[in-house]
Amino acid sequence: MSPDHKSKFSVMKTYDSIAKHFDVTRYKPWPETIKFAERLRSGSLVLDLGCGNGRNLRFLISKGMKVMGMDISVGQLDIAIGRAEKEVPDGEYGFAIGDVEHVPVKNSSMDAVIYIATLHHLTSSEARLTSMNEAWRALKPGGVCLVSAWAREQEKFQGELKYGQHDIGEDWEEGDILLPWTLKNEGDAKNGKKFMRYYHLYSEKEFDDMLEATAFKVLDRYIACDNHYAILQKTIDQ
Amino acid sequence: MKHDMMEILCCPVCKSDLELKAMKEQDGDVIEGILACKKCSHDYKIENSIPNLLPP
Repeated sequence: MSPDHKSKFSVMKTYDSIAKHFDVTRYKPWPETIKFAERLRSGSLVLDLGCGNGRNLRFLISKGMKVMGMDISVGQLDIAIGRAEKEVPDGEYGFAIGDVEHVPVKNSSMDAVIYIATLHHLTSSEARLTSMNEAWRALKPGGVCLVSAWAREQEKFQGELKYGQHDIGEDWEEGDILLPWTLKNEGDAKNGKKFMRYYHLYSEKEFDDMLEATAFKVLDRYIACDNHYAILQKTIDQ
Repeated sequence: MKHDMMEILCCPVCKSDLELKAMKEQDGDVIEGILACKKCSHDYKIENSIPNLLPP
């Protein structure tokens, strides 16, 4: 296994390659997004960082929010756009190719940010903290952010945690793993091929420490379905 | 890309405002164009109506 899998470029290529198959299996909004939306008003401007195929943003659009979806994978965005046009034709939304470490959104412009199941694909703790600070920067004072990342304390990954070190090589850090996605897409020349996805699985303390290092106020913090979650706020005095 | 996206988009690097140069439009959507950052002297492309704002 090549150590190159621990890179932003590799994560992007994997999500491009598996976009269609991914969309067949992952199209419903996360229950946590639905709950978070109760905090928002119709007409709120929401930024979806790492929107993927748009499973979460379509729900927000259907509730009257104006959503900008950003992802580093064009393959995922193509699907997100196609689905939004079909499923929420009257909605207000836009998309951009972007990097969560360098968010192309003006300071204090958004009412809310959702940053779901993306943080754990960033390959260094510095990059992960930078992306959190970018989410903070994009928010209006008083704005709220929902963030999630996979938890390390999952029984199903104990084997992988052991192998992660071997697979990634000298760049491996505690919590790093590579998970294969086997492509099932009839007619695709790459059908059956395994694509590796890099994850950094967060321990409870590590997630808390990262939140502590940001300027956010933590409104809520919990673990659900093997994910760490936090609801954060950029306070008014900021 | 709809024109009102300009209200929120900025340069991913220096966070300055961008200047839109639309090359092809359809029903109010910018299909092909450029988002120019004067400060960085960099042009970000809009292709198939999606702005590519990855840092150069």
